[in-house]
Amino acid sequence: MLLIGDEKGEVKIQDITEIIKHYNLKPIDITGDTKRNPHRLKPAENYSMDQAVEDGDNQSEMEQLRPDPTPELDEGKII
Amino acid sequence: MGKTNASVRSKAQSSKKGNQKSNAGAGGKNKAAVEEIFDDLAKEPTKKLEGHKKAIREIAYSLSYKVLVSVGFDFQVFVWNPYWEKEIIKLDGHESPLVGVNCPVGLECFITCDTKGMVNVWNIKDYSQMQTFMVNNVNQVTSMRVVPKHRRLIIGSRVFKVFEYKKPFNSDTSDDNPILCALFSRIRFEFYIAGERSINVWNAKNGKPTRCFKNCFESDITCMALDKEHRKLIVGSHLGKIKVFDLLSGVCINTLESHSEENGEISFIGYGDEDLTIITTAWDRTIKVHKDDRNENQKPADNVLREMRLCHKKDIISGDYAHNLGLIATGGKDNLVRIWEYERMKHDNEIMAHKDEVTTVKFLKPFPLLMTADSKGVMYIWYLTKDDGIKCVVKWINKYSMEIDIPISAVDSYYNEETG
Repeated sequence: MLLIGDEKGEVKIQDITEIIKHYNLKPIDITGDTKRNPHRLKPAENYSMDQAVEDGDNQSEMEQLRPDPTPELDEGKII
Repeated sequence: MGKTNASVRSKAQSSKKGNQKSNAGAGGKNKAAVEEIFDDLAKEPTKKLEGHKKAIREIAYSLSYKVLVSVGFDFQVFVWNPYWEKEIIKLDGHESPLVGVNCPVGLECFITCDTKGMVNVWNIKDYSQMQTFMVNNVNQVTSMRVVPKHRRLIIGSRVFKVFEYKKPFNSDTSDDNPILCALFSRIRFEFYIAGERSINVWNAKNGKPTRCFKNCFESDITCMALDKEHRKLIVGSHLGKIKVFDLLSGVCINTLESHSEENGEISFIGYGDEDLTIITTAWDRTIKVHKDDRNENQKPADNVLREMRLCHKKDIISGDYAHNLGLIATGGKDNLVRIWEYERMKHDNEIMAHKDEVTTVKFLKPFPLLMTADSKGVMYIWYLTKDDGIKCVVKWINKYSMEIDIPISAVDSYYNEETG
Protein backbone atom coordinates (compact mmCIF):
# COMPACT_ATOMS: atom_id res chain seq x y z
CA MET A 1 0.00 0.00 0.00
CA LEU A 2 1.20 3.47 -0.83
CA LEU A 3 -0.28 6.27 1.26
CA ILE A 4 -0.09 9.78 -0.16
CA GLY A 5 -1.14 13.05 1.43
CA ASP A 6 -1.22 16.26 -0.57
CA GLU A 7 -1.30 19.98 0.05
CA LYS A 8 -5.07 20.10 -0.47
CA GLY A 9 -5.46 17.81 2.53
CA GLU A 10 -6.45 14.75 0.54
CA VAL A 11 -5.11 11.33 1.46
CA LYS A 12 -4.95 8.70 -1.25
CA ILE A 13 -4.28 5.01 -0.80
CA GLN A 14 -2.83 3.22 -3.77
CA ASP A 15 -2.26 -0.46 -4.26
CA ILE A 16 1.15 -1.13 -5.78
CA THR A 17 0.82 -4.93 -5.76
CA GLU A 18 0.91 -4.88 -9.56
CA ILE A 19 4.49 -3.54 -9.49
CA ILE A 20 5.60 -6.27 -7.11
CA LYS A 21 3.97 -8.91 -9.31
CA HIS A 22 5.30 -7.45 -12.55
CA TYR A 23 8.93 -7.57 -11.44
CA ASN A 24 8.43 -10.56 -9.16
CA LEU A 25 9.97 -8.56 -6.35
CA LYS A 26 11.02 -10.19 -3.10
CA PRO A 27 11.76 -8.41 0.17
CA ILE A 28 15.45 -7.57 0.40
CA ASP A 29 17.50 -7.34 3.55
CA ILE A 30 21.25 -6.95 3.34
CA THR A 31 21.75 -6.42 7.07
CA GLY A 32 22.61 -10.09 7.57
CA ASP A 33 25.72 -9.72 5.45
CA THR A 34 28.65 -10.48 7.73
CA LYS A 35 30.98 -8.26 5.69
CA ARG A 36 29.02 -5.18 6.62
CA ASN A 37 30.78 -2.55 8.65
CA PRO A 38 28.23 0.12 9.51
CA HIS A 39 30.64 1.86 11.87
CA ARG A 40 33.22 2.40 9.19
CA LEU A 41 35.01 5.69 9.76
CA LYS A 42 35.46 7.88 6.76
CA PRO A 43 36.79 11.42 6.82
CA ALA A 44 34.46 14.13 5.59
CA GLU A 45 34.76 14.69 1.87
CA ASN A 46 33.18 16.74 -0.86
CA TYR A 47 31.22 15.08 -3.59
CA SER A 48 33.20 15.94 -6.66
CA MET A 49 30.89 15.36 -9.62
CA ASP A 50 29.32 18.82 -9.56
CA GLN A 51 32.47 20.70 -8.56
CA ALA A 52 30.12 22.69 -6.32
CA VAL A 53 28.85 24.68 -9.29
CA GLU A 54 25.32 25.93 -8.79
CA ASP A 55 24.55 28.18 -11.69
CA GLY A 56 25.95 28.77 -15.10
CA ASP A 57 26.55 25.09 -15.73
CA ASN A 58 23.85 24.84 -18.40
CA GLN A 59 21.95 22.49 -16.16
CA SER A 60 18.58 24.06 -16.97
CA GLU A 61 19.19 23.86 -20.70
CA MET A 62 20.20 20.24 -20.35
CA GLU A 63 17.04 19.52 -18.39
CA GLN A 64 14.92 20.92 -21.17
CA LEU A 65 16.67 18.71 -23.70
CA ARG A 66 16.62 15.60 -21.54
CA PRO A 67 13.93 13.17 -22.65
CA ASP A 68 11.40 11.98 -20.10
CA PRO A 69 12.01 8.43 -18.90
CA THR A 70 9.56 5.92 -20.29
CA PRO A 71 7.60 4.17 -17.55
CA GLU A 72 7.42 0.42 -17.90
CA LEU A 73 3.95 0.22 -16.38
CA ASP A 74 0.81 2.14 -17.09
CA GLU A 75 -0.25 4.48 -14.28
CA GLY A 76 -3.71 2.95 -14.40
CA LYS A 77 -2.27 -0.19 -12.84
CA ILE A 78 -1.69 1.46 -9.49
CA ILE A 79 -4.50 4.00 -9.30
CA MET B 1 -31.84 42.33 33.24
CA GLY B 2 -32.11 39.48 30.82
CA LYS B 3 -28.94 40.33 28.90
CA THR B 4 -25.52 38.86 29.21
CA ASN B 5 -23.79 42.03 28.08
CA ALA B 6 -24.97 44.00 31.07
CA SER B 7 -22.54 46.48 32.55
CA VAL B 8 -21.51 45.97 36.15
CA ARG B 9 -20.19 48.47 38.67
CA SER B 10 -19.28 48.51 42.27
CA LYS B 11 -21.16 51.04 44.34
CA ALA B 12 -18.34 51.41 46.81
CA GLN B 13 -15.88 52.48 44.22
CA SER B 14 -17.86 54.88 42.06
CA SER B 15 -20.33 57.67 42.46
CA LYS B 16 -23.74 57.74 40.80
CA LYS B 17 -22.12 59.46 37.86
CA GLY B 18 -19.36 56.89 38.00
CA ASN B 19 -18.27 55.00 35.00
CA GLN B 20 -19.53 51.54 34.20
CA LYS B 21 -16.23 49.74 33.96
CA SER B 22 -16.25 46.33 35.52
CA ASN B 23 -12.69 46.52 36.83
CA ALA B 24 -11.70 49.57 38.82
CA GLY B 25 -9.62 50.39 41.84
CA ALA B 26 -11.32 50.49 45.25
CA GLY B 27 -11.06 53.09 47.92
CA GLY B 28 -10.97 50.61 50.74
CA LYS B 29 -13.96 52.10 52.56
CA ASN B 30 -15.48 49.99 55.22
CA LYS B 31 -18.99 50.09 53.83
CA ALA B 32 -20.98 47.17 52.69
CA ALA B 33 -20.60 46.82 48.96
CA VAL B 34 -23.36 46.13 46.50
CA GLU B 35 -22.97 45.05 42.94
CA GLU B 36 -25.34 46.70 40.55
CA ILE B 37 -26.10 45.25 37.19
CA PHE B 38 -27.19 47.72 34.55
CA ASP B 39 -29.06 46.98 31.42
CA ASP B 40 -27.37 48.75 28.54
CA LEU B 41 -30.38 50.98 27.99
CA ALA B 42 -31.57 51.34 31.57
CA LYS B 43 -30.62 54.28 33.75
CA GLU B 44 -31.29 52.39 36.92
CA PRO B 45 -29.69 49.08 37.88
CA THR B 46 -31.88 46.14 37.02
CA LYS B 47 -30.45 43.95 39.73
CA LYS B 48 -28.41 44.32 42.90
CA LEU B 49 -26.19 41.53 44.09
CA GLU B 50 -25.61 42.03 47.78
CA GLY B 51 -23.22 40.02 49.87
CA HIS B 52 -19.82 41.60 50.20
CA LYS B 53 -19.22 43.18 53.59
CA LYS B 54 -16.47 45.48 52.38
CA ALA B 55 -15.55 47.22 49.17
CA ILE B 56 -15.33 45.22 46.00
CA ARG B 57 -12.06 45.39 44.18
CA GLU B 58 -12.64 43.52 40.95
CA ILE B 59 -15.28 41.56 39.08
CA ALA B 60 -14.76 39.04 36.31
CA TYR B 61 -17.35 37.40 34.11
CA SER B 62 -16.97 33.99 32.53
CA LEU B 63 -18.63 33.98 29.16
CA SER B 64 -18.41 30.20 28.92
CA TYR B 65 -19.90 29.43 32.33
CA LYS B 66 -22.08 32.54 32.69
CA VAL B 67 -20.94 33.35 36.20
CA LEU B 68 -19.71 36.52 37.82
CA VAL B 69 -16.88 36.33 40.29
CA SER B 70 -16.23 39.26 42.62
CA VAL B 71 -13.47 39.92 45.10
CA GLY B 72 -12.80 42.73 47.53
CA PHE B 73 -11.51 43.77 50.88
CA ASP B 74 -13.44 41.15 52.85
CA PHE B 75 -11.09 38.23 51.99
CA GLN B 76 -13.88 36.24 50.37
CA VAL B 77 -14.50 35.29 46.77
CA PHE B 78 -18.16 35.53 45.68
CA VAL B 79 -19.49 33.57 42.73
CA TRP B 80 -22.76 34.87 41.31
CA ASN B 81 -25.35 33.91 38.81
CA PRO B 82 -26.10 37.34 37.34
CA TYR B 83 -29.78 36.44 37.04
CA TRP B 84 -30.15 35.64 40.74
CA GLU B 85 -29.73 37.98 43.73
CA LYS B 86 -28.07 35.49 46.04
CA GLU B 87 -24.55 34.32 45.50
CA ILE B 88 -23.93 30.77 44.30
CA ILE B 89 -21.07 30.30 46.73
CA LYS B 90 -18.65 32.21 48.96
CA LEU B 91 -15.12 30.88 48.83
CA ASP B 92 -12.61 31.15 51.65
CA GLY B 93 -9.02 30.78 50.71
CA HIS B 94 -7.39 34.11 51.32
CA GLU B 95 -6.18 35.70 54.51
CA SER B 96 -5.78 39.25 53.32
CA PRO B 97 -7.74 41.63 51.10
CA LEU B 98 -8.08 40.49 47.53
CA VAL B 99 -6.77 42.57 44.68
CA GLY B 100 -7.99 40.80 41.59
CA VAL B 101 -9.88 38.04 39.86
CA ASN B 102 -9.60 36.81 36.28
CA CYS B 103 -11.52 34.21 34.26
CA PRO B 104 -9.01 33.20 31.56
CA VAL B 105 -10.68 32.39 28.26
CA GLY B 106 -10.38 28.72 27.34
CA LEU B 107 -9.47 27.59 30.83
CA GLU B 108 -11.99 26.02 33.17
CA CYS B 109 -10.90 28.06 36.14
CA PHE B 110 -10.74 31.50 37.65
CA ILE B 111 -7.76 32.97 39.45
CA THR B 112 -7.76 35.19 42.52
CA CYS B 113 -4.93 37.04 44.19
CA ASP B 114 -4.57 38.90 47.49
CA THR B 115 -2.33 41.71 48.70
CA LYS B 116 0.16 39.34 50.33
CA GLY B 117 0.73 37.58 47.04
CA MET B 118 -1.31 34.45 47.58
CA VAL B 119 -2.73 33.24 44.27
CA ASN B 120 -5.57 30.72 44.16
CA VAL B 121 -6.72 28.86 41.09
CA TRP B 122 -10.33 27.69 41.37
CA ASN B 123 -12.20 25.15 39.31
CA ILE B 124 -15.05 27.04 37.68
CA LYS B 125 -17.16 23.90 37.44
CA ASP B 126 -17.23 22.83 41.08
CA TYR B 127 -15.47 25.80 42.79
CA SER B 128 -12.81 23.55 44.27
CA GLN B 129 -9.31 24.87 44.84
CA MET B 130 -7.04 23.59 42.09
CA GLN B 131 -3.81 25.30 42.99
CA THR B 132 -2.38 27.75 45.50
CA PHE B 133 0.95 29.46 45.39
CA MET B 134 2.68 32.46 46.91
CA VAL B 135 4.37 35.17 44.93
CA ASN B 136 7.69 35.57 46.67
CA ASN B 137 9.53 38.79 47.49
CA VAL B 138 6.61 41.15 47.11
CA ASN B 139 5.48 43.63 49.74
CA GLN B 140 2.08 44.66 48.54
CA VAL B 141 0.46 43.15 45.50
CA THR B 142 -1.76 45.69 43.78
CA SER B 143 -3.01 43.94 40.67
CA MET B 144 -3.18 40.72 38.73
CA ARG B 145 -3.86 40.09 35.07
CA VAL B 146 -3.95 37.00 32.87
CA VAL B 147 -2.67 37.36 29.30
CA PRO B 148 -4.20 34.36 27.54
CA LYS B 149 -2.43 34.89 24.23
CA HIS B 150 0.96 34.46 25.86
CA ARG B 151 -0.21 32.18 28.68
CA ARG B 152 1.18 34.49 31.30
CA LEU B 153 -0.10 35.49 34.68
CA ILE B 154 1.26 38.89 35.67
CA ILE B 155 1.28 40.00 39.28
CA GLY B 156 1.85 43.69 39.86
CA SER B 157 3.40 45.23 42.96
CA ARG B 158 6.43 47.51 42.87
CA VAL B 159 7.71 45.07 40.31
CA PHE B 160 5.97 42.78 37.85
CA LYS B 161 6.16 39.07 38.46
CA VAL B 162 5.31 37.01 35.42
CA PHE B 163 4.26 33.37 35.61
CA GLU B 164 3.81 31.02 32.72
CA TYR B 165 0.86 28.66 32.75
CA LYS B 166 -0.08 25.70 30.65
CA LYS B 167 -3.20 25.78 28.62
CA PRO B 168 -5.08 22.54 28.19
CA PHE B 169 -5.43 21.42 24.64
CA ASN B 170 -8.14 23.04 22.65
CA SER B 171 -10.51 20.27 21.56
CA ASP B 172 -10.92 21.80 18.12
CA THR B 173 -7.26 21.56 17.15
CA SER B 174 -4.52 19.21 18.21
CA ASP B 175 -1.91 21.96 18.44
CA ASP B 176 -1.78 25.70 18.97
CA ASN B 177 0.82 26.01 16.23
CA PRO B 178 0.94 24.74 12.67
CA ILE B 179 2.03 21.10 12.68
CA LEU B 180 5.45 20.79 11.10
CA CYS B 181 5.92 17.04 11.34
CA ALA B 182 4.34 14.05 13.03
CA LEU B 183 5.29 10.48 13.88
CA PHE B 184 3.46 7.41 15.10
CA SER B 185 5.00 4.76 17.32
CA ARG B 186 3.43 1.36 16.80
CA ILE B 187 5.36 0.10 19.84
CA ARG B 188 4.28 2.82 22.30
CA PHE B 189 1.03 3.51 20.51
CA GLU B 190 1.62 7.24 20.63
CA PHE B 191 1.67 10.15 18.24
CA TYR B 192 4.47 12.72 18.38
CA ILE B 193 3.39 15.99 16.89
CA ALA B 194 5.78 18.89 16.45
CA GLY B 195 4.52 22.44 16.27
CA GLU B 196 7.03 25.27 16.28
CA ARG B 197 9.53 24.39 19.04
CA SER B 198 7.50 21.92 21.06
CA ILE B 199 6.38 18.33 20.67
CA ASN B 200 3.06 17.08 21.96
CA VAL B 201 2.69 13.40 22.74
CA TRP B 202 -0.75 11.89 22.23
CA ASN B 203 -2.03 8.55 23.41
CA ALA B 204 -3.32 6.76 20.32
CA LYS B 205 -5.66 4.55 22.36
CA ASN B 206 -7.70 7.22 24.08
CA GLY B 207 -6.80 10.22 21.93
CA LYS B 208 -5.62 12.26 24.90
CA PRO B 209 -2.47 14.35 25.19
CA THR B 210 -0.04 12.79 27.61
CA ARG B 211 3.19 14.78 27.56
CA CYS B 212 4.69 17.88 26.06
CA PHE B 213 8.35 18.54 25.32
CA LYS B 214 8.58 22.32 25.50
CA ASN B 215 11.07 24.57 23.73
CA CYS B 216 13.25 21.82 22.31
CA PHE B 217 15.23 24.32 20.22
CA GLU B 218 15.71 28.02 19.65
CA SER B 219 14.16 27.57 16.22
CA ASP B 220 11.34 25.52 14.70
CA ILE B 221 11.43 21.75 14.58
CA THR B 222 11.67 20.47 11.03
CA CYS B 223 12.21 16.75 11.32
CA MET B 224 11.86 13.81 13.73
CA ALA B 225 12.73 10.11 13.86
CA LEU B 226 12.39 7.27 16.36
CA ASP B 227 15.11 4.82 17.31
CA LYS B 228 14.62 1.10 16.77
CA GLU B 229 13.04 0.39 20.17
CA HIS B 230 11.10 3.66 20.19
CA ARG B 231 12.78 4.80 23.38
CA LYS B 232 14.35 7.87 21.87
CA LEU B 233 13.14 10.66 19.66
CA ILE B 234 15.69 12.34 17.43
CA VAL B 235 14.69 15.86 16.51
CA GLY B 236 16.17 18.31 14.01
CA SER B 237 15.70 22.05 13.79
CA HIS B 238 15.55 24.86 11.31
CA LEU B 239 19.00 26.03 12.40
CA GLY B 240 20.61 22.65 11.78
CA LYS B 241 20.66 21.43 15.38
CA ILE B 242 19.95 17.79 16.24
CA LYS B 243 19.02 16.51 19.68
CA VAL B 244 18.09 13.12 21.08
CA PHE B 245 15.27 13.03 23.65
CA ASP B 246 14.28 10.30 26.04
CA LEU B 247 10.70 9.54 25.02
CA LEU B 248 9.41 8.79 28.48
CA SER B 249 10.90 11.70 30.40
CA GLY B 250 11.30 14.20 27.59
CA VAL B 251 14.86 14.90 28.73
CA CYS B 252 17.46 15.75 26.10
CA ILE B 253 20.01 12.96 26.44
CA ASN B 254 22.34 13.73 23.58
CA THR B 255 23.23 16.45 21.12
CA LEU B 256 24.59 15.48 17.73
CA GLU B 257 26.93 17.51 15.62
CA SER B 258 24.99 20.30 13.97
CA HIS B 259 24.67 21.04 10.30
CA SER B 260 25.39 24.57 9.13
CA GLU B 261 23.54 27.20 11.15
CA GLU B 262 23.28 29.51 8.18
CA ASN B 263 21.46 27.25 5.76
CA GLY B 264 21.41 23.91 7.50
CA GLU B 265 17.74 23.17 8.08
CA ILE B 266 17.48 19.47 8.79
CA SER B 267 15.51 17.91 5.96
CA PHE B 268 15.69 14.26 6.99
CA ILE B 269 16.61 12.10 9.97
CA GLY B 270 16.84 8.31 9.70
CA TYR B 271 17.77 5.64 12.19
CA GLY B 272 20.14 2.76 11.45
CA ASP B 273 18.29 0.28 13.67
CA GLU B 274 20.69 -2.27 15.18
CA ASP B 275 23.67 -0.33 13.79
CA LEU B 276 22.79 2.39 16.32
CA THR B 277 23.48 5.12 13.82
CA ILE B 278 21.60 8.27 12.92
CA ILE B 279 21.54 9.56 9.35
CA THR B 280 20.88 13.26 8.78
CA THR B 281 20.58 15.40 5.68
CA ALA B 282 20.22 19.16 5.57
CA TRP B 283 19.85 22.14 3.32
CA ASP B 284 23.61 22.67 3.60
CA ARG B 285 23.89 19.83 1.01
CA THR B 286 25.56 17.54 3.52
CA ILE B 287 24.79 13.98 4.59
CA LYS B 288 26.09 12.80 7.96
CA VAL B 289 26.07 9.41 9.63
CA HIS B 290 26.34 9.81 13.40
CA LYS B 291 26.94 7.17 16.02
CA ASP B 292 24.00 7.07 18.46
CA ASP B 293 26.27 7.07 21.44
CA ARG B 294 26.69 9.46 24.32
CA ASN B 295 30.06 9.88 25.84
CA GLU B 296 30.64 12.93 27.99
CA ASN B 297 34.33 12.93 27.14
CA GLN B 298 33.62 13.15 23.44
CA LYS B 299 32.50 16.08 21.36
CA PRO B 300 29.50 15.63 19.05
CA ALA B 301 31.89 15.79 16.10
CA ASP B 302 33.65 12.68 17.39
CA ASN B 303 30.45 10.74 16.88
CA VAL B 304 30.26 11.50 13.16
CA LEU B 305 31.24 8.33 11.36
CA ARG B 306 30.90 9.52 7.80
CA GLU B 307 30.13 12.81 6.12
CA MET B 308 29.61 13.77 2.50
CA ARG B 309 29.45 17.46 1.64
CA LEU B 310 28.19 19.23 -1.47
CA CYS B 311 26.04 16.24 -2.31
CA HIS B 312 23.79 18.32 -4.54
CA LYS B 313 24.18 21.51 -6.53
CA LYS B 314 21.48 23.09 -4.39
CA ASP B 315 19.85 22.39 -1.01
CA ILE B 316 18.88 18.86 -0.02
CA ILE B 317 15.20 19.22 0.80
CA SER B 318 14.18 15.58 1.14
CA GLY B 319 15.77 12.31 2.12
CA ASP B 320 15.17 8.72 3.11
CA TYR B 321 17.16 5.79 4.33
CA ALA B 322 16.51 2.12 3.56
CA HIS B 323 18.19 0.01 6.20
CA ASN B 324 17.31 -3.17 4.34
CA LEU B 325 19.06 -1.91 1.18
CA GLY B 326 21.87 0.05 2.83
CA LEU B 327 21.00 3.07 0.73
CA ILE B 328 20.33 6.75 1.36
CA ALA B 329 18.29 8.76 -1.12
CA THR B 330 18.36 12.56 -1.31
CA GLY B 331 16.20 14.96 -3.25
CA GLY B 332 17.40 18.45 -4.03
CA LYS B 333 16.31 21.86 -5.13
CA ASP B 334 18.44 21.10 -8.19
CA ASN B 335 15.65 18.72 -9.33
CA LEU B 336 17.91 15.72 -8.84
CA VAL B 337 17.53 12.53 -6.85
CA ARG B 338 20.79 10.96 -5.75
CA ILE B 339 21.33 7.60 -4.16
CA TRP B 340 24.21 6.94 -1.79
CA GLU B 341 25.74 3.86 -0.24
CA TYR B 342 25.17 4.16 3.48
CA GLU B 343 28.15 2.07 4.52
CA ARG B 344 30.79 3.63 2.28
CA MET B 345 29.06 6.97 1.74
CA LYS B 346 29.65 6.67 -1.97
CA HIS B 347 27.49 8.01 -4.76
CA ASP B 348 25.56 5.06 -6.13
CA ASN B 349 23.13 6.40 -8.68
CA GLU B 350 21.21 9.39 -9.90
CA ILE B 351 17.74 10.17 -11.21
CA MET B 352 17.36 13.12 -13.55
CA ALA B 353 13.70 12.97 -14.43
CA HIS B 354 12.08 15.70 -12.39
CA LYS B 355 11.66 19.18 -13.81
CA ASP B 356 11.07 20.74 -10.40
CA GLU B 357 12.41 20.57 -6.85
CA VAL B 358 12.28 17.04 -5.46
CA THR B 359 10.21 17.38 -2.32
CA THR B 360 9.79 13.69 -1.50
CA VAL B 361 11.94 10.59 -1.75
CA LYS B 362 10.66 7.45 -0.10
CA PHE B 363 11.88 3.86 -0.20
CA LEU B 364 8.98 1.43 -0.43
CA LYS B 365 10.36 -1.11 2.04
CA PRO B 366 11.14 -3.96 1.99
CA PHE B 367 11.39 -3.86 -1.81
CA PRO B 368 14.05 -2.16 -3.94
CA LEU B 369 11.57 0.51 -4.95
CA LEU B 370 11.91 4.25 -4.58
CA MET B 371 9.12 6.76 -4.89
CA THR B 372 10.01 10.35 -5.78
CA ALA B 373 7.83 13.43 -6.12
CA ASP B 374 8.40 17.06 -6.99
CA SER B 375 6.86 20.40 -6.13
CA LYS B 376 4.46 20.23 -9.10
CA GLY B 377 2.90 16.96 -7.97
CA VAL B 378 4.73 14.76 -10.48
CA MET B 379 5.48 11.34 -8.98
CA TYR B 380 7.59 8.39 -10.08
CA ILE B 381 8.25 4.92 -8.75
CA TRP B 382 11.69 3.53 -9.58
CA TYR B 383 13.00 -0.02 -9.45
CA LEU B 384 16.58 -0.08 -8.16
CA THR B 385 18.04 -3.13 -9.86
CA LYS B 386 21.37 -4.62 -8.99
CA ASP B 387 22.66 -5.00 -12.51
CA ASP B 388 20.53 -2.86 -14.83
CA GLY B 389 20.61 0.41 -12.91
CA ILE B 390 17.39 2.25 -12.20
CA LYS B 391 14.18 1.53 -14.09
CA CYS B 392 11.27 3.92 -14.29
CA VAL B 393 8.29 1.82 -13.26
CA VAL B 394 5.46 4.31 -13.34
CA LYS B 395 4.84 8.03 -13.55
CA TRP B 396 1.71 9.92 -12.58
CA ILE B 397 0.58 13.36 -11.49
CA ASN B 398 -1.41 14.16 -8.38
CA LYS B 399 -4.38 16.01 -9.83
CA TYR B 400 -6.94 18.07 -7.96
CA SER B 401 -8.87 18.72 -11.13
CA MET B 402 -8.16 18.40 -14.83
CA GLU B 403 -6.27 21.68 -14.77
CA ILE B 404 -4.76 21.81 -11.29
CA ASP B 405 -1.87 19.63 -10.11
CA ILE B 406 -1.25 19.45 -6.37
CA PRO B 407 2.14 18.80 -4.75
CA ILE B 408 2.20 15.97 -2.30
CA SER B 409 3.27 16.64 1.28
CA ALA B 410 3.50 13.20 2.92
CA VAL B 411 4.13 9.63 1.81
CA ASP B 412 4.24 6.32 3.60
CA SER B 413 4.01 2.69 2.59
CA TYR B 414 2.75 -0.41 4.26
CA TYR B 415 3.57 -4.04 3.60
CA ASN B 416 2.29 -7.00 5.55
CA GLU B 417 4.84 -9.80 5.47
CA GLU B 418 2.20 -12.47 6.04
CA THR B 419 -0.51 -11.36 3.66
CA GLY B 420 1.77 -9.69 1.11
